[in-house]
Parts: sequence; C-alpha cells; structure tokens
Amino acid sequence: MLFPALAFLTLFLVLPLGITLYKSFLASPVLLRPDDYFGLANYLYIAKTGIYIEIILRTLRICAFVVVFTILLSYPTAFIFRRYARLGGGSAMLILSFPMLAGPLVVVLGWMILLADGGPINSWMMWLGITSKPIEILRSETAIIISLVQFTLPFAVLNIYNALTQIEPHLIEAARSLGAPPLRRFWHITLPLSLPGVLSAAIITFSLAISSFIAPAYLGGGTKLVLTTLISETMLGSYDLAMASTIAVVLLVFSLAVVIAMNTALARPAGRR
Amino acid sequence: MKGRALWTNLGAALWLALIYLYVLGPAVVVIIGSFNTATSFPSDFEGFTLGWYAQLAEHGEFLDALFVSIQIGFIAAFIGSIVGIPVALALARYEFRLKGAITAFIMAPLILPQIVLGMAMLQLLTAVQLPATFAGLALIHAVFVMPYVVRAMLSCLAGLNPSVSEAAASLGANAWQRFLLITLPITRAGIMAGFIFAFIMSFINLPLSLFLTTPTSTTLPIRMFAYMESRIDPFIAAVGSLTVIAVIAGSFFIEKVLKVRLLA
Repeated sequence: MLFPALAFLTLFLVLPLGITLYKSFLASPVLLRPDDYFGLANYLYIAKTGIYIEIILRTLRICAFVVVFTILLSYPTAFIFRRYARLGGGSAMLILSFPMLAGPLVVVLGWMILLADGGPINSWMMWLGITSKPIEILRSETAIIISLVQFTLPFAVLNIYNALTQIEPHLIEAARSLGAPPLRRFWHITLPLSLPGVLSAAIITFSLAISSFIAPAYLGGGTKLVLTTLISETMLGSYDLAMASTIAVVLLVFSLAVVIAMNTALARPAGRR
Repeated sequence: MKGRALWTNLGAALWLALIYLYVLGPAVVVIIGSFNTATSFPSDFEGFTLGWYAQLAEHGEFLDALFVSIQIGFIAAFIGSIVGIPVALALARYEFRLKGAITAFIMAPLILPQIVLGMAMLQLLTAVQLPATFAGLALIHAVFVMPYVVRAMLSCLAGLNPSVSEAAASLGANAWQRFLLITLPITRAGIMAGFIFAFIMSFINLPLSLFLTTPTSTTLPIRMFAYMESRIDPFIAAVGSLTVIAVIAGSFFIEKVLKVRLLA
C-alpha cells in the first residue's frame, strides 16, 4: 500500500530535487568557467558576494521576526479559545483560517490596498496623529513581516490550541486547591506543558515564512529580495539554471536545518524544566 | 470577584476582535473593493457596482486560466487520492519499520518551498527533453496535494473501529471485498474531503506553477499575479473575491457537511 506513494514521490520529488542538486554544481554562465566544470564554484560565489549574503540574512531576519510575532500573538489567542472552549472547536477556528484557505495571493492583494501610500492604514495613522504625512510601508521588510504574521497566525493558533487541550484539567485544579494563584498556575503548569505546541507552531511558522513567495514578491517591491524571489529573478530574469539551482539548494538547506533542529528540540522528553 | 471576571471577559473579547480584524481584514478589503466604482486603488468607496464582476466575461484570458486551474486541480486531486489513500490506510492500520521516517517523507511536500518544487519539476522535464508542461504542472501539483489527502483520510480513520474489517475478514471476505464493501463506504467522507481540500490547495497555489506555465497553460493565480504586476484595481479584487468565496464554500462543506476536520 506504500509502494505507489513512495514510487510517485521518488520519481516526481526526489529525482527532480536530485537533478537540481546536480545542476547546482555546474558553473553559472556569470562565472565564465569551462563548459565541463563540475564543482562548488556557485556556492563559493554566493558566499563571497555581498548581495547574496545580504539576501540570505534578510530572509533569516524576516523569518525570525515572523516566528516571534506570530507566537506572541497566537499564544493568547489559543489560550482564550481554550478558556472559552465553546469558541475553539468549531466555527471560530474555521473563520480564523479563512486567509490560509483563501490563499496568499488574495491576502497580499488586500495588504497592497491597505498599506498603499495613500491607503487606509496611512490615513488612519494620520488621523490618529501617529504620523503627519504618509509613510512608505509598502516596499519594506515591515510590510512583508506584517503580511506573513497575519498569514501564519491561524496555523500557529491551531498548534498551540491543540497543545493546550492536551493538558489535564485536574493538574490545574490540584494547583488551585493547593492555593496557587492564577499567574503561578500558568507559569508552572500551563506554560511548560504547552511548550511542545509552541515549538511545533514555531516550526510550521518558520517553514511557511521561508517558503513564502507572493508576500516578498509584491510587498518587498522588487528591491527587498529574499531567497524565493531571488530564485524567480534568477530564472525569469537571466534563465541561469545553475545559479537558480544553487540558491534553491541553499534555501532547502536553511529551511531543513532549522526545521530539523527545532524538531530535535521537540523530540526531547517533555516536561523537563 | 464578579467585576474582575467581567474585565477578563472584556479583555479577551477585545483581544479576539483585534486578532480577527488583523487576520480577516485584508480579505475583507479585497471583497469590499471589488464592489467599488473607483477605477484604481487606493481609493475611498465611491459607489456600489457589480460591473467589475461583469467585466470578467470580457477577459477571456482569465476564463481560460480558470479552466486550466480547474483541470489541473482535478487531475492533481485525483492522482493525489489514488496515491495518497492507500498510504493513509497503511499508516492508520499497521505498524511497520521506519514508519516515522516514511510519514515524514510523505508529508515533506508540505514543508518544502513550492517555488523549489516547481523549478525542480522543470529541471526533470528538461532532463528527459519533454516540454510537456501541462503534464508537469499537473504532476507537481499532485505531489504537493497528496499530503492533504493523506491528512484528511487519517483524520477520518482516527475515529474508526478496525474490528469491523477484521470481522469481515474472519467471515471470509478477501482484501478487495473488504476495501470495496467496508473501508470505502465508511471512509467516503474522508475521501471526498481529501479530494476537495487537495483541489483547493492546488487551485490557489501560485509558486508551484511559476516556471511551468506556457501561453496555453496558464493557471488562474499566475494570470492574477501577472495582472497585479501592472495594476491593482477593483477588477482583480473581483477575481480574487470569487476565488475566496468558492474556496470558503468548499471548506465549509468539508467541515460542516462531511464533518471532517481539516484543521486538526
């Protein structure tokens, strides 16, 4: 029963990725190497070229901000869903998930309208007196982060909510009957027991953020490149398959390394503190 | 004490209101904008019109793209189901060596960057000198949606009693009979939910298709993306609103009618 899926993925996932890895060792035309070159020239070029380093750092910086803000916003939300349990199970969660079902394209279109120089957000900020003249939010890392946090939030809420529902209610009851005040109950029971959920929320948020393409492509305004948009620029701009493959491998390595590291942390025995 | 509970409830309600505003705001803005008589964004709401939706009839390229997306979505969901359903059954019923690793492998397309998947598929097509991009599109979409099929099936199988199938086996039913007469009927909701969800995930996806489209096989998201490069107007908001409404109707159907939990 496993064979069809394993064969299917081997042919159409592993093999294509293998070809990509192979292509990444062929020299990019920009390097002026002989045609039969096979080696690490592209990787060395990326490591030595400031613009590529800048893009890698920008990608990781954006992901880090997105993970932190998403967790900070989704934990209280999941906690409220849990506390008012009637809300959590059904429609409230489904409604919160609309953006992930509607897809990033429509969501990013919404942000382009909202964040435009003369758009609603700028008007409100001026009305509230936060700023006196329109500020440019589009075409910035801030815009990318705002949109990615919004897009990843439902996934994170869901993971944390699931972890919170796993906590045995009588643990908290026991602490209450022993006289622990709410904050202490939260700090010593709920928070540590929900940490695996927070970690898996962080993993999924990170991999969604590092894979995101539409948000950086539109909200970054063409100058704030990240690894995914760099791949499309390299492909569609100069059709440099070798360099695009190299960037793809770099992207895969970063994304898998972080996910595996976080998963290893998750696999450690829970409840150790 | 009662006063404090009131404040806690109010605080929770306010927090949720802000979160919902933040999360749903962009899609709502698109839907409202699609009814605006203004010709471009940013703009105040100048008046109500359905004209932008009517304009869709004049944009043949969007209708062609819609048709391509529907075809790709169906083929991908179909292949994904054929390949994914047996895996889900195996994962739900049996213990075997390397189960964790195999599960991770099956689910890998969910965490791999889709733009890389699309480019890798282009490399495969180039390597075998097959410029069949429609097939390539359908195949990479199938790779991507298969995990959703597996997930929907697993979520449906989790509440299932394996002893029914075992009872049938002890009464002499062979594997095919058990599959057709027992497993298939009781997992019908899961199969349908998996198919619809897989279709949705293919339908809204852009980066998978970015390098595989040709003038004759352009998907709807790619068409929208190209349009948005040059301008943002209520027409594109209308196209977006229609996809949102279709997708949300589909997911409501899965959750409320088929009673399969997509999001757990």
